[in-house]
Amino acid sequence: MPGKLNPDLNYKNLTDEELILEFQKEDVNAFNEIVYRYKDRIINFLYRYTSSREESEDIAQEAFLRLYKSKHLYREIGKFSTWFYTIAINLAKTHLRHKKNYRTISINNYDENEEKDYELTANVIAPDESANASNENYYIQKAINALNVKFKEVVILRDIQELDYEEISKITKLPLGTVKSRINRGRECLKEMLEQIYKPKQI
Amino acid sequence: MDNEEKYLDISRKLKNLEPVKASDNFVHNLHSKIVEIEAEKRLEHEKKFDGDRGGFLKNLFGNMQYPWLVPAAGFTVLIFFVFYITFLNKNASENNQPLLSDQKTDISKQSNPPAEQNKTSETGNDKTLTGKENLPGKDIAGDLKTEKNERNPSITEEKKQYTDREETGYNKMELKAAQPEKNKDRSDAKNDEIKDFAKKENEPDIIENNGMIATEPQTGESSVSTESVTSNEPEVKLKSKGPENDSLKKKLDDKLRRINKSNLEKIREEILK
Repeated sequence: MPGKLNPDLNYKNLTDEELILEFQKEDVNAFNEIVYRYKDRIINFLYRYTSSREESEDIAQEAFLRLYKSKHLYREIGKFSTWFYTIAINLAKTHLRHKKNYRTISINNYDENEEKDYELTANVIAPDESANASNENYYIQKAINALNVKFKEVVILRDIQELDYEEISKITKLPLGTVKSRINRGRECLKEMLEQIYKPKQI
Repeated sequence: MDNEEKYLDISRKLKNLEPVKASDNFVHNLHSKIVEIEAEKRLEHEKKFDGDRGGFLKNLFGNMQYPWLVPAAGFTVLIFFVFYITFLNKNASENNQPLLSDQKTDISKQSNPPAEQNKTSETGNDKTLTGKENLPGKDIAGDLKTEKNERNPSITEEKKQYTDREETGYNKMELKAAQPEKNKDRSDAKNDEIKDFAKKENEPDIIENNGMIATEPQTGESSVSTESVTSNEPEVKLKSKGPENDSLKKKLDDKLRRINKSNLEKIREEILK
């Protein structure tokens, strides 16, 4: 990878903001350190958001490429993590929108004589499916997928990524009160869904 | 805080979810994509650079780093162009003006009455001689011609005839140019001319006294071949050797007299006709 190297710097001791500033000076090691620090966090977030490992990796790579290309757009005013999460979440939303559009086209071209080559995502988890379920994580992920997008993103950012409300508010560009209310509503939905899943098991 | 406690269970479950990690080849794939992007960038840059090479203006003004220079430079070039054209035209007009004035003076001289021409005959002959002197390589050519003429008298005769024709033609022209002033008394003017030529015939002593051929009245104004040869040759010789070569001078004078006599006779005949 082309770029300058600064052997005197200990990149592990630098903050995210210092790293991006170093990378803005064409220091590729700073970029590598950023990739090392954020790759798992971003992929985990994107996986919970898209529920697909491949898609989450593709979007994460795209996010890092955006960071590589548009490093000069970062300003010291905000936290690097906020800026980078914003890039990732916007890419994820765009990806989901494209996916949705593609599915809509498939439905419109539907022919009754032909077999189905797609599956519509269920908004609510079916009770039969929950009876056969054994893995808790699997059901939690199913419940997250079933959540409305506007609740899903804030719940993931708060409870999985463990970001504070203010940062979530900056990432989603929503007021703090809206963020808090959305998080609570999302949690309520999840709780209801998970209760529905586990009830038959408990019985 | 109430909401946090209320949903503590669900938030704990979400935090305890097994974290998903990046695949082993994630960084490798990312690096390969970055390399591709860099290669594309280089190609674009090279294309841009190649495009810049071809353009004259881009070469002139660099990679258009200072686009504001383009109109300024264009304006300066235009000013220089206009100035150059006007300056050239001025020079050309200045060069043409003296030529025209010379032509006018010649015409006026030609149109002068023969009496005045006689008075200024010496200077007029000077002018003709100076005009001849300006011819390149005339000394060498004159020498060669005289030598040839001495060897082949027949050629000299032919040349004489030719020069006589020319001279008569020139005299005709002179007369035509002087016609407006001579309209009053043509016959008198003709007689004056004849008298002038006759005077010129008797003037070679002046040449000898002065030692200058420029004062020779015999050399016709438009005569080129024989007369110019005769007029130039002794000049060189006289200047080089001085009054010691009397014999040469006498020879030259005799030649000139002969030529003048023949010319005068022909002119007389023409005038009488």
